[in-house]
Amino acid sequence: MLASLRRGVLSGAVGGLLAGAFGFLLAEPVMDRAVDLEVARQAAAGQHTVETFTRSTQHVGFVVATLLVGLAFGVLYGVVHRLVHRAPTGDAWGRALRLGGAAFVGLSLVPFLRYPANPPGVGDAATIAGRSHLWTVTVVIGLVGVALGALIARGLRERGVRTSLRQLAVAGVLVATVALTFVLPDNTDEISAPVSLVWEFRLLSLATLALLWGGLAATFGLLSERADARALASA
Amino acid sequence: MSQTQVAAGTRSVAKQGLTAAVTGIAAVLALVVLYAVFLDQGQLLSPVMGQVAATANYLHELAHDGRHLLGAPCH
Repeated sequence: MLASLRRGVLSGAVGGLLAGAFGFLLAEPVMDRAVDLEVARQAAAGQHTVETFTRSTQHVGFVVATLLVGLAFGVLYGVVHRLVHRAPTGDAWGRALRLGGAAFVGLSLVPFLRYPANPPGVGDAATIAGRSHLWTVTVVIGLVGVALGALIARGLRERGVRTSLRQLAVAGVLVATVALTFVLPDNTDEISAPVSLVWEFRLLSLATLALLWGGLAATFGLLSERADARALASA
Repeated sequence: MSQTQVAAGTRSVAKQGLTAAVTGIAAVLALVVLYAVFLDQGQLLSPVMGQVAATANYLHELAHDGRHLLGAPCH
């Protein structure tokens, strides 16, 4: 378990730094534009808000937050990987990527499809508690959905069901999972930022999440390949 | 059972306990970090800092951009 945990921490750091660097270089300029628009809008309305931190401190905070999230995801990923896979099979790379893909879909993509990320300036501070609860519910639904998909895939494989039907069954579970999240009420916040800015931000958000999970899973896969080769050689 | 076997058995139990403890602590820490970055509105700091933690919302404001870009609700 500890070896898997160590690999998870290392992989999470790589994924977090990769996502942090990407976001810092490509997404921060978009967020700064969104913040400028928000400040201009507030000024036009005669409001003036005092920020707790300056934008440049928030830029540093962004990289720190992304690294911390990467490390935390890495820890949980390492623990789950060890619980799901006990003995090495020679397919360390495939296992690592599948678990990374499942985590991305369950924890990031399903919530994103229901409540797409919004740039700064969009989102009413008064509704944040309710929005946070609903978003958390989508994360739980996503996790249960991918876990169910994985269990069904494993069960069908053990029964010798052929690949095409197994993959269709998993796809069906995932579609049902996304559909279930649409039972939740819509986000009613007004989107005051320009649509092009909002969608540019959303694509960058999805890319950052994909990089985080991709970097994490790929690093974990490479490290496990090496460890498995050693374990198989000594066995 | 010889004394060395007993000693080895005790060591292995101790090692398992340590592994479980380290894993548990790491997992709890990971969840606290995720809460702090994605959901906190002053709750984590308010026992130490009082009401100002909720008004100034330090953790939220520091992690603000990360929260937006990683898709969590923000303002």
